[in-house]
Order: sequence, then C-alpha cells, then structure tokens
Amino acid sequence: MAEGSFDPRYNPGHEEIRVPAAEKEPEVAMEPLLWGLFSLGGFLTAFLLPVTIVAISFLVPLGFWPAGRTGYDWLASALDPSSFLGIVVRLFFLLLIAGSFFHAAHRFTYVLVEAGLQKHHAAIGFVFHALAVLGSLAALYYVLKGWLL
Amino acid sequence: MVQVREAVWKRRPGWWARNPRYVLFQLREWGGVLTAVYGLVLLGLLISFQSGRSSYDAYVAMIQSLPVLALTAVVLVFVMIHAITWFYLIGKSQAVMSSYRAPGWKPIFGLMLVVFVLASGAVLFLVFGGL
Repeated sequence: MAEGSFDPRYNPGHEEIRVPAAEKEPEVAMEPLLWGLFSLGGFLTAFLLPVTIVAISFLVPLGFWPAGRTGYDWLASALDPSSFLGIVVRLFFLLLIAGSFFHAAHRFTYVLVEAGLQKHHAAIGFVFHALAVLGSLAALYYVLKGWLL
Repeated sequence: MVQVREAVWKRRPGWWARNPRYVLFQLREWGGVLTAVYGLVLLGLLISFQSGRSSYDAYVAMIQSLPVLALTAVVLVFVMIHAITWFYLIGKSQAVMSSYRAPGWKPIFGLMLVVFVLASGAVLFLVFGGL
C-alpha cells in the first residue's frame, strides 16, 4: 500500500479474531452461566424467601392466622391456572425453588472447596449443579401440572 | 530446565473463626446453602398439593409441627443473615464496581431494606391474600 493512500479494509482494533473451538477452555463458557444463576438465585431468595418461610411455616402455628390460611383451598385458589394471578404464583414458586437450588449449589461447592476439598472442585460442582437442575426440572413439572400438563 | 510445581493452597481448620468478618462470611455462606432446604420444603408442598387434599394436609401438619418448626427457625435465622449481609455487600461493592464516586454503603443498604419490605408485602398480598 502506497504511503498516504487509504485501504478501507484496514480497520485496526476491529479485526475479527477467530479462536478454534478446540482451544477454548470449557470452564470459561460455563462459569458466567453458573455465576449468573447463583447471583439470580441469591437475589430471589434474599428478597422473597424470608416472608415465604414466615407465612407458610410460622403464622398459623403461632396463632396469627387461622388454620385455613395455609390449607389446601388456599393453595388451590392461589395456583388457579384460569387467572393471571394464578400463573404469577406458579412462576413465583418455580423461580424461588430453582433459585434456591442454584444459589445453594454454588455456595455449597465453595464451602467444601474452602474446607479443603479443592482437588475435587470440578466433581463437587458438577454433582451439586446436576442436583439443582434435577430439582428445578421437578419444580417445573409440578408447576406446569394442572396448567399446561 | 525449570520445574514447575503447583502451589498447594491450604488454610488451617477454623481460619474463619479468628476474625468477626470471616465469621459473618461463613454465616452468609451457610445461609446460602440453607436456602435450598426451604426450597425442598416448597417443592414438597407442590408435590403434596398435586397428590390431593389428604396428602397436602398431612404435609402441612408435618412442616408446622413443633420439631420441624424449631429446625425451620434455625433456617430462617440463617436465611435472614444471608439476606441482610448481602444487602450490606451490595452497598459496599459499588465502590469497587463503579468508576464514578460511589454514594457510600448506607443509602444503598437502606434502599435494599425498603425494597425488601415492599417485596415482602407484595408476596403477602399476591400469594397469601393479605395480612
């Protein structure tokens, strides 16, 4: 290229860099996804889980609510798939259950790694995240049952 | 030829007990783990509901029995520690994550508490039909 002339194909800083798939490190692909699920689960459980625990487990036995407030008719009405609110409540349960599983899977992996099992980091992470996937699929099935299944 | 050895990463048992900040860190970690325990309780609630009224009534009677309530109280304490310290950390992490001058942790922590109260109220009204 002669000095002073301009080649429109020359575009430093915007060159396309191709990395062969075989050279990619697999953990680089999974790590952001797992951290994202961990963070989302932490967000959901921090804001929504305490009040859910208090309402389902404590308010009736402590006498603040009558027995029927957490009875079968309450949940049948809350999960009613013919109403928009019923769909929202079904999604609420799904997100809360799946969020807690993925958040705990990540936390428990690092609790064990910090406790001295760092050699088994990959295996521990795989097992707990696989359990989180299975638990979330179970929650998805029971949320869809009676609505779309 | 230079031999490369992997560094052995080791902490002494109980390393976290020497500093109150590390103790809080461990409590938050375990709070995060225990969220899954109540996640299982909620999954059980859905399963028993789909199995019918008698199954659901027996399940709710079990999770509201005194021994299970005692365990649930422990889970609730850890879940609350997890939530509150996480709100605190969000405020603290702004100074690290932002290039602009962070407003300090107190306003963000306060905002998180307000959102927590509003979210709890929304759950009470939308899911449980009010107070």
